[in-house]
This record gives sequence, C-alpha cells and structure tokens, in this order.
Amino acid sequence: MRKLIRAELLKLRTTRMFYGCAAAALLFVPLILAISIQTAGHKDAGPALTTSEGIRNVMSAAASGTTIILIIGILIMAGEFRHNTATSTFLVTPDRKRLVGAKLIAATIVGAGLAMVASLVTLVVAVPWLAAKDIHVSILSADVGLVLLAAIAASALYAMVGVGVGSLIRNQTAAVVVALVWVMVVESLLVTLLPDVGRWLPGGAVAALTGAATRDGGLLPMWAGGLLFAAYGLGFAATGSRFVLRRDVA
Amino acid sequence: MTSIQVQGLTKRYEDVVAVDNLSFEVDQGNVTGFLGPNGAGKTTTLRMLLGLATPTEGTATFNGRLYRDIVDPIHHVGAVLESTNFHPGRRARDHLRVICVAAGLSVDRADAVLEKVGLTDVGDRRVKGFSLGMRQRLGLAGALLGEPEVLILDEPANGLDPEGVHWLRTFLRSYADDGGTVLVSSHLLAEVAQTVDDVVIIAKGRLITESSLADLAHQATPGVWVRTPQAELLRDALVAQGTSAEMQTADSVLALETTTESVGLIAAGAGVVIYEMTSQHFDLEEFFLELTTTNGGVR
Repeated sequence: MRKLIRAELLKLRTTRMFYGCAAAALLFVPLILAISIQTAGHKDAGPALTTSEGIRNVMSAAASGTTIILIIGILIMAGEFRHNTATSTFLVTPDRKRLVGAKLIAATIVGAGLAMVASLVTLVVAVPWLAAKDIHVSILSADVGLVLLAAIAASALYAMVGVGVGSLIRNQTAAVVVALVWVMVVESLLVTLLPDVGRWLPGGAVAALTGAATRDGGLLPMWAGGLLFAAYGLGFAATGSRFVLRRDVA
Repeated sequence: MTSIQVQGLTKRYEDVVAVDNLSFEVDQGNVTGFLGPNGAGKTTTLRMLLGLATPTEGTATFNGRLYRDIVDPIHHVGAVLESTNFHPGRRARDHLRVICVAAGLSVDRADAVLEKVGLTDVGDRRVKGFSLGMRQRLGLAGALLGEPEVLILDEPANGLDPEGVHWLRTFLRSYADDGGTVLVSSHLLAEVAQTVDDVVIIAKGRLITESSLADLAHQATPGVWVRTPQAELLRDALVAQGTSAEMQTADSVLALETTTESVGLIAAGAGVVIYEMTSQHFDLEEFFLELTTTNGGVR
C-alpha cells in the first residue's frame, strides 16, 4: 500500500496540472484574507475584528482553497480515464479497491499538506496585519488554532471526497461539473427548501467542521460534521470501486 | 508447457458478440502471433486476459491464474495495449518511474528500459511531443520494467517505421530465445511471419485455426490448378500416380504439392484434354486472407 501511495504522489508531482491547481488553491488565501480583514465590521460584511467571530472569520481564509482541493481529488481518480492512463494503472495494480485506497490516502495527504501551507500563509499575512490594527491574537487560542486545524481537516476530507466523486463518475469533465454544480447550486437550493435536511448533506457536514459563518444554526457538532463528511468520501469511493471502476476500460 | 490458457472465452455486448467461445493455448518460450482482421476480437480478448474487461463467459489465465489474482503482475506479465495510455504532460522517464514506484522496483529500471528501447535521449521530454512509434517504444519500455516472463503486445508494429519493425522483430526473437513467452497480435500475417513460431487465427470472434507457422505453411502448400472437361478422369489419374488432387468445380482440378511438368505428363498419359493450367504460388498472406474471410465471413 505504501508504494502505491508514493506512486500516486509521484504521479501528481510529475504533471503541471497539479502545480497549477495547488497554486490556484493557495492564491485564494491572501485574497480572501485581504477582503475579510478590510471589510470586517462593515454593514453586510463579516463581524468586527474585535469579536471572537471576527477573528474566526478571518482565520477561515485558510480553508478558501477547498473547492480547488476537491477538484484535485477528482483529477486524481477521474484523470486516469481522461488520458486513458487507467489501462497502465490497472495493469500495475489490478485490485481496484487497493488502488482507490491508495488514492484516497494520497489525496488526503495532499489536501492536508496544501491546507497546512494555506494556514501558514494565513498566519504570516493576518497576524502582522491585525497587529497593525492593534489586534493581537494567539495561535493557541480556539479562535485561531482550532479554526486552522478545522481548515486542515476539511481540506484533507475535501480531497478524499473528490476521489470518491471521481470514482463514481469516471468522466473527468462531468465529475468536476457535477461537483461544482452540487456545491454552488443544488445544495444551497436544498438547504433553502428543506432546512432540516441541509445539515446531513456533504456541504452542511463540512460547514459544521469549518464553522462557516453563513450557515449558523442547525448544523451538526464540529466532530460529527467532520465524520459525516469523511463518510461521504469513503462511501462514494467504496461504491465507485465496487460498481464503477470494475467496468471495462476502453 | 503452456503459459496462457484461454478457455471458452466469450464477450457479448448488447447486440454484438465480440468474442465467441474462443479457446487456445500459448506455449512457454514461443512467439505466438494472434492474428485476425480488424474487428475480429483480438483486442477484446487481450483485455479480458489482462483483467481490463470482464468475460461474459469463459476464462483466460496465466498458468491457471487470473491476471487480477497475480501479486505485482508486472513482474510476470508485461503488456502494451495502446499507444495512447500516457499522460501527455508527463515526461517519459517519469511515466516509467511511477510504474517502478507502484510495483516496488528500483527507479533505475526506468533508465535501463529507456536504453533498451532506444529512447534514452528523449527520456526527459513530455510524452505529448512523441510520435506514434516513440509511444509504442515507451509502452514496450513500461512492459519490460518488471522483467516479465510473458509479453503481450497489441499491434506493436503500428506506427513503427521499417527500421523500428526490424528492431522489434529482432527484440522479440531474442526475448523468446532467452525463454520468454510472447503473444503478439496483428491484422497482417506478413508483419509477424518472420518472427512467430505459432499462430492463433481468429475472425468474427471465433477461432479459425491454431497451429505452428510451419503447419500453416504446409496447409498453404503450392499446387497446380487445371481446367479440363475430363476433370474426374484427371483427378483419378493423378491420385493413381500418388499425387494428391481434388475436384475444384465440375471442370477443374487442384493437384497439391506438385509441378506443372508432372501434371502435364500424367494428363498426357491419361489422354486428358487441358484447356488451362496454372501453378498456384505459395502465399501465406493470401491463405490467411482466405482463411479469415471464408470461415469468418467478415468481408
């Protein structure tokens, strides 16, 4: 298993696509940080920086690359079918379940790694900026440390869910489109129509984990949200490797 | 000793039978040509053998084991199925290194096989700039990484220039001479006739013949074709003289393994009138075409 995980990581490191996605995911961080710090306390924007919520809101910028991390997860799996590298991959590793397992772990490592860098960027940018506004934060406080840890966990799980989606939908473009439409349209519609269902959906689960300000009230506890989101990823991957990846490859 | 066993292998798609109750064996240490016209089911058969497609019925195994059940299969079986299964943005050497890491091989093997297939100079180039022939070589390099005992190649000569085809022939021959087993598919018998020991010929998903190349050549043996109003009389005269002969139509006879001179003498002796007589040349490719069209009825 270890060698398969290393091979998956090497696959990522040897394509430009991955570096592009990683750079994009990280570029969002200073951008979102700047916006949230500059608009904090204004009407219709985030809570004031002097409040605990305000600091949490700023720190959650560390999780702003999650959509792109989700896409990286999808590429790790569905990308095999995009360029028909699946043939070569399956010849080396005929066991689909082992392969998907290795991809899930590799994706989790990549997601967590990117989020750690994002957290570092967040601290490096936000702490001096806030200090200049005479707001001093401690990394060990719940408002900073816990939010950053949650961002790292959420990013790792997002990458995992991406692998799950990619194993259910082998067509890379379709998988990315379905995932984005779900995240941006379907889920917010469902939440509006059926508020009680929202907390059990993937977006609701991850929102509970990251404590996204837009969805307060009715969310699961943080730990339960994280577990549920992970269960979605594993469930997709298990279903995909059992039913979809066993199908003949062209 | 057999190396690959295919038994009752069948692949049915919704309304098409791609492979129809196919059985054959590949002997260890031989180069076996897997031949048939385009669309005969060769690639589908190889995909089922390699666990990339699931048979509707039947089995295809290596020494009794399914490909999917072999641990680290590339140490035992190397396969090249398509020339397109590379990530276009990945460098050739990196493509091979990924396989090395996944299969627990030293990454140095990547350089060794690049040299073996003559791609050392372009190892650092991204695959998207590769010609079809270079892709075939890179595919073969990947198949050789694990130093397997069995090589399976699907139309490997596609895209190779004459020099490349010559190189491939030499390579396969020396691989088999070292004890390796090769199953190589082609839609052209001539392409592999110089390389193979055995042939498995299929058409429309069915087995046409499975034999050694020598036996096939014997079947395709030259003969003399004669048009005469006394066809039966000529046939009997030929048979009486120990020449095998058969009626082609009511007024023509085919005499096997003989010459026009010999048939002419026998005909004169029997007082047979001859309207037309031609020598049938030995042409394996024509025989192959005849086999796959008359029995398979593809064209």
